[in-house]
Amino acid sequence: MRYGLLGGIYAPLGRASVVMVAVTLAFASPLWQAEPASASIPDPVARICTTAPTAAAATADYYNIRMSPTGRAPGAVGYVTKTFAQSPFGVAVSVDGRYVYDVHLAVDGLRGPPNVEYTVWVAPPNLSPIIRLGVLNEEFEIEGQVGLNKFIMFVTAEQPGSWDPANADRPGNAWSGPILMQGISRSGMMHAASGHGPFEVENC
Amino acid sequence: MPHTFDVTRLFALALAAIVGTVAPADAQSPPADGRIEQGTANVELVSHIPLGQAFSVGDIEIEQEISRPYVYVSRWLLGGVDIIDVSKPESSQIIYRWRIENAELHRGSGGTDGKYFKLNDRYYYAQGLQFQQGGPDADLGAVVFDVTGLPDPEAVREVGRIRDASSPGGFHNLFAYKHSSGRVLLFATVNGDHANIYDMQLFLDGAPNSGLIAQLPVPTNPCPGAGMSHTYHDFYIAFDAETGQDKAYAASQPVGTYVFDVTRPEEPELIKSVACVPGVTRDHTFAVSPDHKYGIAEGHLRYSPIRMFDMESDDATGMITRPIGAWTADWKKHAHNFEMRWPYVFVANYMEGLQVFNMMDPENPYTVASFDTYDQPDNIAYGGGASFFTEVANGAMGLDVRNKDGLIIVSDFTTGFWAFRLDGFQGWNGNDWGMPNISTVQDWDNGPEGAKPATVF
Repeated sequence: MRYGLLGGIYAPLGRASVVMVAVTLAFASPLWQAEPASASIPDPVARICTTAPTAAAATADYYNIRMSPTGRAPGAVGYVTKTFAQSPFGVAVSVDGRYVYDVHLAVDGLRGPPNVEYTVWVAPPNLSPIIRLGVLNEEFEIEGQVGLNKFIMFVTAEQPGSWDPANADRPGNAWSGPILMQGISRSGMMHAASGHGPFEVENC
Repeated sequence: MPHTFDVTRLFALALAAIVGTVAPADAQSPPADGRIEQGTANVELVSHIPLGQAFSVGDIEIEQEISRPYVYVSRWLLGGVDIIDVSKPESSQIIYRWRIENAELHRGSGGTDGKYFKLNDRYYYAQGLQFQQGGPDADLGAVVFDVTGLPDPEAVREVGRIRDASSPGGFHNLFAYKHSSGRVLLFATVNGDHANIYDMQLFLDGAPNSGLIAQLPVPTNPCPGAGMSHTYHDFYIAFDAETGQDKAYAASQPVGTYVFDVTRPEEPELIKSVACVPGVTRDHTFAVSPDHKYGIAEGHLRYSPIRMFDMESDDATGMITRPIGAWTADWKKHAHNFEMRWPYVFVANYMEGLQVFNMMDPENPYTVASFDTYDQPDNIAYGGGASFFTEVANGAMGLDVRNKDGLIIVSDFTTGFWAFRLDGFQGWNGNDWGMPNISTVQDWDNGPEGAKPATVF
């Protein structure tokens, strides 16, 4: 099922109301749009929960993503700055109604073998579809766009030339190398209340 | 005898003084005589296998037939299970590992608890899993394996997955129960105001909803001001030979333990409650004696002892509100899971390791054995100890007892797998103690002792 910009309330409002809301959004966009954020690497041991999003800059940081290393890449750190893609309406939305973000990932501390491609992937929580964002450049950075609401970003080590676009549609993993780093969009931390049991360490 | 200047001893004393000065108040310290007794003399350490990173070890389960010497260790955080061969307990070894695919992308506790069961002459193991929303498999509660072919690891086969999208967050605890009707039921705690009951034959047959036949509701807490009980944490389910009922003892959180008649599991009926107990603000684990006369409860809250209840002391409203006894290994901490083998209670007592107490007189329980499986400082706890219910959560977290020969196995959050024997405990059968032979151990072939055979039309 596809949803419009305003999801379930789109249909009852009618076209005129939607236009009015769109105009309102356009005027309000400076307040909504995240400020450019630094791509510097934050303290990797800083807890997400200690972030105090009181100022605009802090709010932007709040929606950025800290990439954590898996056991295969100890010491690696990464940081994703996430802003709305350029749009005349301030908030960029894809044709199927999903927010579109510009993302910039900067990584430090990957010490794998020299002949691998550090490949960056994004996927919604259920891992379908899996989208190949690209390969980290020589500065261990990458830029791209993500058109997902809740998503996971992760980095794998791939053999050069091993990527076959046909893999994107086959069942199972589109990647073949080990997962080195992963991070989750802040929206991914929004849970249904029924999933908040007392047994787990919660996200703040 | 003339005194000599013992430099080594002097240095040791000086070092001890320095350490004693700078160590945090709650850190462990060696005894004054320098001798470290890891356990009481009546406990024999049989095996120990470290299992890697701290807090990657969950609950533990042992098959009960000597001919099937397999132990299942849930892998917390890693999202899986290790199977250990204890055919020669002194040289136990891991023979099989399973991990959820793309484990690095999953979030949450991972493998928390698992139970085995036997059905139609085949053996199965259900691994309970908990993954948070935001990552994959938040709706996955358990993965079920056919383990009949062990010890051949190639013969282990996944037969299905139990999912519950209505209560994301997975299953925290499982209880596999051979019902008096002959059915094999799997009770599962979910992140919701109920527990799920699955008929595992229906599950294996591919029934809709994985064979879900009923839900055990969390009742309204009868104690004013106690707060709403909103989910179950753990169960004990057993047949009561005297009343002819299958009974489920379900500990809810934050507080309240409820006793249901599940003789007709599709229509669970609340019998009584253990609630409004002074000083109890949290319920975690519950069990009863084989005759269902005495209950024991653990609250997973610092400073809380294990409490004993007279299960026939309920008032006119069906509430039991006063314990009759209590036991603790260390009043500054608390216990975790336990297994009753009347009159003994085997306790995974977190930082105090394995503890065994005797409750033949429930008003005066006493410690009979212990072995410290945890050797880190006491200020390292689950999740940094930040939560009020995890302040001292580290160390022995699960255990099980093989009734045939009394082998005791323990899973420790940090130090891994342990196996022990207790002097004078070569096995357990309730009949030897004047009780029904009822415990967490199921008679998969014959059903619970005292139950009438299922009527066959």
